[in-house]
Amino acid sequence: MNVTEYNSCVDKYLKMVYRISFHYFGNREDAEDVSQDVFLKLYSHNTKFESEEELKAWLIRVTTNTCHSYFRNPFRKRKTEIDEKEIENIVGSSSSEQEIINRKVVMDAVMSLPERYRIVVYLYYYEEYSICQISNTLNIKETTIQTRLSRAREKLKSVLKDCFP
Amino acid sequence: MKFTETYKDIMSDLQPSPELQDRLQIRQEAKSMRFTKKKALIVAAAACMLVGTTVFASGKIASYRSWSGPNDEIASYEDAVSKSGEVGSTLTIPEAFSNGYTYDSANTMGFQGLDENGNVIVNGTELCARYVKDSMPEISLFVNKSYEDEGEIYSVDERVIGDTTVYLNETTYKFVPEGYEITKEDEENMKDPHFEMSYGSSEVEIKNNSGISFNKDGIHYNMFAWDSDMTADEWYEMAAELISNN
Repeated sequence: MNVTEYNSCVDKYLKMVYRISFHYFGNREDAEDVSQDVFLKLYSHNTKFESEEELKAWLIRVTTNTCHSYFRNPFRKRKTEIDEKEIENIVGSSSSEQEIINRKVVMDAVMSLPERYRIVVYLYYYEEYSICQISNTLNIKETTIQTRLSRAREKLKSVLKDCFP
Repeated sequence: MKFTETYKDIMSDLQPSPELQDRLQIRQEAKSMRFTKKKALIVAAAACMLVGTTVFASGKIASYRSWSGPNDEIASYEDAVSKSGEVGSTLTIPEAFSNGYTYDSANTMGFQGLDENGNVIVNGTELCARYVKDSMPEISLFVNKSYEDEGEIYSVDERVIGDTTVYLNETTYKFVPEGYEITKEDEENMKDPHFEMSYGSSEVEIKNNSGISFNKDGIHYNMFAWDSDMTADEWYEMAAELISNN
């Protein structure tokens, strides 16, 4: 990958990598640390990607694996805490008070899910991946992905009630 | 309120800092990425973990960067043994130690040793195997090729086991946030080569790293844990079991 291609990847995929990482850690510092790690790995990656889809899948997989490694990292003896202030900054960027309340409720509901459910929710609802695509990307059985999505939906429904499809 | 709409809206606003984007872009004139201070220091701290408590002199390896890829996780003990052989190890990493620590998982990592100017001096692959025992601190065993330019070793003790000199390493790390002001006590502590300070954490945290390291047949072995109560004798016993497991 040459410098131009690499910089283009950063432009295109940094936000996605950051969002996935944020879903794991719930704070900016850890999410940015992982994002930096992922792009360092991309920079050092020697094999050429056959397609844009392959590159994107690689980034998603490396991001999730890196997040898992961070939990095992000896520098982190306890689980990283969700930064409530950061969440409020994100949901607060709306002019309507009702909108802000809605956004806070949704974000809190998603972040209250186990980490392994949050990433499936993100890929399904935001990246609009199918179950099959999520399964192939994360290298996890389709039935497992289906289960995680169903359980995530159940939990979200119980909190969000009428707002959840 | 519709969930999907609202969730997508929030995600659109969830973005990394402009500073991160700027840092990750490679400028043509520099042709290098700039790590945050935390990352550079974590890399340096990791380098100490890799080669035991090591101080690097000028012109030698000053820092490491390492990474694991999506297919580098190893679940089975047999695969970990196989990988350690690929790294060059003539010893067989134990499946269990007599003190109750047992193999949990492993991964291979690529690493580069960089000089003070960020030039790559060495390239390699290392194996990191993890051992667990009940609620005790996890033990990491790193196996990688030895490199000559690895600087001077500051160990607290050493013992000869068979024909191998095993070094006992103990280092206290004080992780502090950016902007932390060093105290007189910190200044005194930093005169001790077994005390390291590292910037970039969210809060002040002190951790003790202890373990053993040795070279055998051109391969470096480093086994350590954070905040462990293991005694020197217990560490040497584990080293002896590793050395004799071939």
